[in-house]
Amino acid sequence: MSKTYKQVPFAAIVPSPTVSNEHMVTGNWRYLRPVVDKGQCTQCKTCWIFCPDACVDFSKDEGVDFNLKYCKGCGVCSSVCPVGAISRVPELDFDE
Amino acid sequence: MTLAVAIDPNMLEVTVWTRGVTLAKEARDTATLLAKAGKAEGKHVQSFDNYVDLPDRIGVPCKSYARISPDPIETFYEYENYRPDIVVLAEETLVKGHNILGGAKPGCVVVINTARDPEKLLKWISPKENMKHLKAVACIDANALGAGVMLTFDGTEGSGDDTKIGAGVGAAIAGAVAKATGCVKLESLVSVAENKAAVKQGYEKVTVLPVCKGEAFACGLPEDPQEIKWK
Ligand code: SF4
Ligand code: SF4
Repeated sequence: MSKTYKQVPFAAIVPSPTVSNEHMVTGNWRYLRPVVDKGQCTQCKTCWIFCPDACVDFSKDEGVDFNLKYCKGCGVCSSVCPVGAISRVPELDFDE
Repeated sequence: MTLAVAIDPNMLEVTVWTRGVTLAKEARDTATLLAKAGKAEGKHVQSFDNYVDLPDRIGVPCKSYARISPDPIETFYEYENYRPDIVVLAEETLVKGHNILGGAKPGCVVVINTARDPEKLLKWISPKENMKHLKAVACIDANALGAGVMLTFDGTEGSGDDTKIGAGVGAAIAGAVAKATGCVKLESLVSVAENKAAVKQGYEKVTVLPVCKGEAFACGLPEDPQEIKWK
């Protein structure tokens, strides 16, 4: 059965990751940390879709949050955010 | 396995930490320049990259190495510097979350490319027990030096660019290392670097914080902090 263009998913659909790989922790690649301004965020989830490492956590109550153990600081989330709610802050500005 | 320290007791091991792609060329330049400068002084040298770091991933922590010895180097089959005398961080954040002083020899000097105070960076060094081998932390804000000191953001990592060895930030960092550790002379470094002004700027602008028993100034301030004796 054929499908119309709009019915075809834009990429492969894979299950959301539920386990993490302890042998490939990429958090220490990061030198700019993504920080979300929750006042500006519209909860559109674009960053959640685009993060190449599935490091954007999203919940209805908390909104956008980042998994800093694996976030490698690539800045894709900040580039794709349509309202510019994600800024990149030098990692050494944070105590933790 | 016989360790390099047993085979080459007088060999200096320099480890330059950096970030894949964005800064890999500059760090390789720093290591290469130090080795070439040592060679210009008639010493025996080696310089190579870490083979397992896969530096073609943007931002990945990776390392380049240099070895300088007054005697012929007999260490050939050790592909990492397991006992560094000098640790260089081409990017400041590497101080956080990496065991940069792992295996460091007593009297190790750390040189960091940063605009921050050395005191503020000390707290990130972990595990803390390695701090006892640390003699000094030197900081050079190489990214902020003159317009001619550029950063090569080039995915070809030297294969397709013609910037030659030591055209930018890596040269300034090498100058800072020369001043902070005395491992090579400024003249020999200048003679081998493409950007001679960058080497001199790095040499002049570096600030050195002596460290003792893991703490800054614990043994009192030396009369001239720049004059830290090397070996
Ligand atoms: S910086 Fe990169 S890895 Fe980190 S959350 Fe954003 S897109 Fe994901
Ligand atoms: S892309 Fe921007 S606006 Fe959309 S959910 Fe992420 S942070 Fe919020």
